[in-house]
Amino acid sequence: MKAVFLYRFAGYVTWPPAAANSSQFTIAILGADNVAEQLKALLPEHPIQGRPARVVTIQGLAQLGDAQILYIGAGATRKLSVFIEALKDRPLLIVTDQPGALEEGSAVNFLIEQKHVRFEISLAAAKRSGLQIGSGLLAVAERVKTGDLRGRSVCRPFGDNHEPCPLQLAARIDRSWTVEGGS
Amino acid sequence: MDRRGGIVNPLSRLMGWFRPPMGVRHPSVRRKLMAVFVQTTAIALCLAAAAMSVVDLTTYRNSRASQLSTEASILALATAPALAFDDRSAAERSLGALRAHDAVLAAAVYAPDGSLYASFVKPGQPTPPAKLSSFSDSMGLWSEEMRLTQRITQNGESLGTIYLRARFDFLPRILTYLAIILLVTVLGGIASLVLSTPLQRAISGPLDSMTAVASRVVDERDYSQRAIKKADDEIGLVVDAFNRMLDEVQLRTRALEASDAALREADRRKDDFLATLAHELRNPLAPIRNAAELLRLHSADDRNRERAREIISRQVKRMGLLLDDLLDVSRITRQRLVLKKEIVSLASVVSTAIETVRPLIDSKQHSLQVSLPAEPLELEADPLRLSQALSNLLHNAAKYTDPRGLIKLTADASADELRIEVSDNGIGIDPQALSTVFQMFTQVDSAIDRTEGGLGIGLALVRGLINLHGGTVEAVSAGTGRGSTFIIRLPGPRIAVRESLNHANSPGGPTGHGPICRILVADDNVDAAESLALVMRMWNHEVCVAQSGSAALEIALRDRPDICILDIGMPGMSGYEVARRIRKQPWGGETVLFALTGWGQSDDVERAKAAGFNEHMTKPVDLDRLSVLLADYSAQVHDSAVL
Repeated sequence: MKAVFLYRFAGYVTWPPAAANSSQFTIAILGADNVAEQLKALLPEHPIQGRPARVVTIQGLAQLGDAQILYIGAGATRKLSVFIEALKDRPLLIVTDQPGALEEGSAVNFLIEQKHVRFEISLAAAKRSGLQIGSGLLAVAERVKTGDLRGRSVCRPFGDNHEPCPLQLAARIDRSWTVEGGS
Repeated sequence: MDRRGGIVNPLSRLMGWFRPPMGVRHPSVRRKLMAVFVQTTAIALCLAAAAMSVVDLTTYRNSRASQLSTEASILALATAPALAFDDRSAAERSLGALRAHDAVLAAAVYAPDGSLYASFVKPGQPTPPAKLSSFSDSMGLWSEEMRLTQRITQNGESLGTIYLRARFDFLPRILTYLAIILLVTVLGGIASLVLSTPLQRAISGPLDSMTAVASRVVDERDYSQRAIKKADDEIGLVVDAFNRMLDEVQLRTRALEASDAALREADRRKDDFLATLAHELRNPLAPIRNAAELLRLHSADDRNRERAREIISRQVKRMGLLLDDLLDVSRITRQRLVLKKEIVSLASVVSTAIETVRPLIDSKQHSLQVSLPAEPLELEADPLRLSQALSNLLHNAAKYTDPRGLIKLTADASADELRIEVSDNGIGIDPQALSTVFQMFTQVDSAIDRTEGGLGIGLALVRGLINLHGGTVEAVSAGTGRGSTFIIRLPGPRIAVRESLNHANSPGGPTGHGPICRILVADDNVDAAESLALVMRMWNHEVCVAQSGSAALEIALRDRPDICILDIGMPGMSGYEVARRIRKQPWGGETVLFALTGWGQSDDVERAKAAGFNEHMTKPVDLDRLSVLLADYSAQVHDSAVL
């Protein structure tokens, strides 16, 4: 399921123009071989953003190349924040799979909610990498973290509170946002 | 129901209540016109409304379909992330937003494998099918619902399918349109009914008035009615033609009525005349029969026998005069009378006329005043006919004046006209009858009761004779019982050059006059021939008698008589034939031939002349004239014999 989500993320994320020029769309997988295998099975049927997509299994940052998405499997590194810090200026969507990873600088982080694979998004992390996250993706995210990278401002779409959120999402559906932790 | 044609027209039946006003008896044209107006309007409106409805319904359906399709697309966009990232609640939230949408009844999202992923259903509506494959899109015009499915794709990847079911409301809409069409048609029909009334009045109004006039003409036979023309269009022309036809009919009817009345009058007068004629012819028979009986009686003395002879002679003369008048009138009517004009003196004509009437005037003890111009006058006329006309007037005056009346005859001459007046102080003429007294068979009513009788042809004869002379005759009377005056005007009198008139041929006793002639009389009527022979033998002529044409010719060839008097109508050989045969003889040119016919018509005279006759005489033979002719011709015969 996570493999499916990975390539579907690409449909809602806008990379800066420089990164969009490469002839191939590359998804790098670190420390999650089963996800890589699933992706490899799916990708031939699904080109991403009009380009053929490929999956690269890497062991270290040196092998990253010009990949657009990097998936860091659970437990692939203990020093996640350092790891991400090293990649901060690259136009790269970093997807992680461990609780609290957004605070470590990850843009998208998988969760398991009631036995369903869900995810949370950090707009600040995406912005630091020069990426824009589409509203459709935000609408189905479990949590969306705004504010600075390590800040506390988190929006929860469709939460119980009805506090207004600074972010207005263009959609037909009225949204209510829960702001956790105050400003 | 509708007897005029097979198509029962509901509109024309609808018009039934629209009765034309009372008195107009021919509403069919009016109704037809109105039906045409209303039907045309209704059909046009109906078609227009129907066409607009079809266009509008199609547009409505298309717009609804496109709207629904748009909604499905938006819904697909909104639910794509939910499907992509397997967020069922997000999908249901997206669909739930359709709650505010009136038309959408149900919506659902299906996963790529066709299983129901999320759904939204309005209360009371059936839930969407559990599997996508069990239905297809339906956008039909006639269904009450529209169903639509749309695939959800993201980056070329099929994520699922949107299903929408919406109300279409087509039937209510169609019913609304039908109601509107019906309303518009009815309103349009009523409007055209109201507006067409003045229009159709322009057509049916003149027709109505014409029809009314025609009915009145037919019912009342009053051809003086006319239709009123209201416009110069075709109907105006028809009205004109109709009126002209009425003019013509009126004219002809009048002429017919006039001629009919004239014919009836003539017929009536003819009937009257026949009755009068029979009466007048029968009247003399009684005295004649009595006299003839008297003559047979041996006991009668000479005086009585003489009186009987006088009676017979007088009555026969009277009958003869009657028949002469009748024949003359008949000739004039058929324009067969030819005048033998000569220069005659007025005095002799007047005296001849007076002589004829003298016995009647004397017997009624009238006094007669005659006033002629001092100088003797001559005129060109037929003396016999002119004196006949005068004597008729005098006879009339004597007849219709009570005994011891006064009768005046006055003659006046101007440069170019001779005027003779005969007036009396008798019963007069009603002013209304003045114009008809000269018509044949007319007698003044008051005169019919009088004993004098007569055929009522005297004045007609007078007018005919005077007209033949180129003159006129006119009746004047101050009224019934106040006498009457008849005025004759004749052209061209002149003063006589010769002072005295020698009566060369004075009628009277011709006995002893002229030399003796040998005469042959031929007539199949033995009595007529013998009596004529008897008279001429008394005049000392030698007379022999033949009773057929062939016998006459035989005697003529054998004896060569000086004079032959031949009846024309003989059996076997006609008088003409005998005359022609005699003329063919070498000596035949010298024989004098007289023709004798019952009817002295002018063509008889001509034919007689052509056959070689010298003279023509009518039966009964005028003995005076015969005596004169015999004297003339015997002299001629003997002169030539001498030569």
